[in-house]
Amino acid sequence: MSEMLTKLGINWEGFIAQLINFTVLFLILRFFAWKPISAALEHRRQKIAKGIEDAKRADDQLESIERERKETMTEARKEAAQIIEEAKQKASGLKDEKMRLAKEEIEKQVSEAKEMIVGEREAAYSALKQDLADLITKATGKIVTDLNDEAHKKLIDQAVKDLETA
Amino acid sequence: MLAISIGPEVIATIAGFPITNTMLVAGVLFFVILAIIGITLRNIDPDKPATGIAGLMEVFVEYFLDFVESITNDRDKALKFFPIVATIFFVVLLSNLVELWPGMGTIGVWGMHHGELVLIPFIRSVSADLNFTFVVALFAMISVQVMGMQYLGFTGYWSKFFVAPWHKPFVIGTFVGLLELISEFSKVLSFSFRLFGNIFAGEVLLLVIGFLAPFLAPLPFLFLELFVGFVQALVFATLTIVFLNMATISHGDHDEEHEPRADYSKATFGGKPGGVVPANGHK
Repeated sequence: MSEMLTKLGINWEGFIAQLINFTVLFLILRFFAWKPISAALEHRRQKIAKGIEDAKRADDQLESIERERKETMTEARKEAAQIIEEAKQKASGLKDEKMRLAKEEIEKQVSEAKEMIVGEREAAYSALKQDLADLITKATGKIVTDLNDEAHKKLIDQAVKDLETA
Repeated sequence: MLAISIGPEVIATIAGFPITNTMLVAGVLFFVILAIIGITLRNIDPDKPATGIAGLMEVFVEYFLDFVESITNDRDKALKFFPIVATIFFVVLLSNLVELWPGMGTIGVWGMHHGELVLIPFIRSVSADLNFTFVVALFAMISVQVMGMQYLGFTGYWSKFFVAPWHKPFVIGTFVGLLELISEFSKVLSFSFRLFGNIFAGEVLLLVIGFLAPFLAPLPFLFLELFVGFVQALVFATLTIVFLNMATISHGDHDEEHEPRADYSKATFGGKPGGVVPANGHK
């Protein structure tokens, strides 16, 4: 048995040496290699998971913000259009009103002016008539002295009346 | 002439304690591993992308943990088994790859061996030394027993091997239990001889090819041995995981006779865990 072991190269010195070597290696690897490396890997795994989650959340947030922004924009645009429309309507209504008022005013003024002109003319006309009558009276009086005033006046009035009707 | 020795050769004697070439290489590997751990610990930073050796170690840990989980189907178990099997894989892989070092088997001192003057090389794969493979196999199988007892309790675990003859399958159960117990010991032997045989054969192959045709011809064999070294480390680690997993699975209620057999063909290396399906409803 021991001869066979010797032939195979098994001896207690070698066995003890390899045993110590391997045991020490196992302990060193277990506590100074596998432990810290797997801890680091676990740490990184969690970190990556957290990073992915954060990115997803940020994405969601961004999306909702974008959606909100779009909504606000459309609303604002709609409102602006509405305001502009209203303003336009109001402006056109105002314009019509103003136009109407202006027209009325103008018409009023024109008619007033017309009335005034007519009155003035009338007044001027009657004054002229009076003046004319007086003038004619005076003139004819100068020409025809023998005609008394009464008859004369009557004559002139008749003439004026004829003139008017003519 | 070539001197091929099954056991490691003594290259020096310090105070009556023989120093073999595998002890020397194991010592060098020890410091190489220390250096790798040192660099890894200095550069590892969860806040930065992994680079260099630290990144390589991270990748190894990540993939290997997934691999263990794909066999155990249980994250807690995987985390518990991981230090054991990762150490086995890592150390055995580095020990296997020593045979690719330049100067393996060729640089050494001339000495008397069995009455003949032969070259005693300084470099020899640690795995080509039965002492080392035996130590690793013992470590693996002792871990299996310890984990089994941790998961199933002392009596729960040993009742797998010692079945009273008056229980359900009667004498057959007792006999099968004893066979299982013997197989636990034979696993140590099969572990150690498989690794030793593969790596020793690879060394001899490389030596002989290098001796016969030193140029170009050894190249494909170097690649082959790189592959064999990786595969043997993986096989050692995988079998350890499987044995650990089997030892920590209870037989369920003893009225049922079938063994819990999982389908390990779907285990993935570095893939998504969850490939192993219990074949007969047992957990």
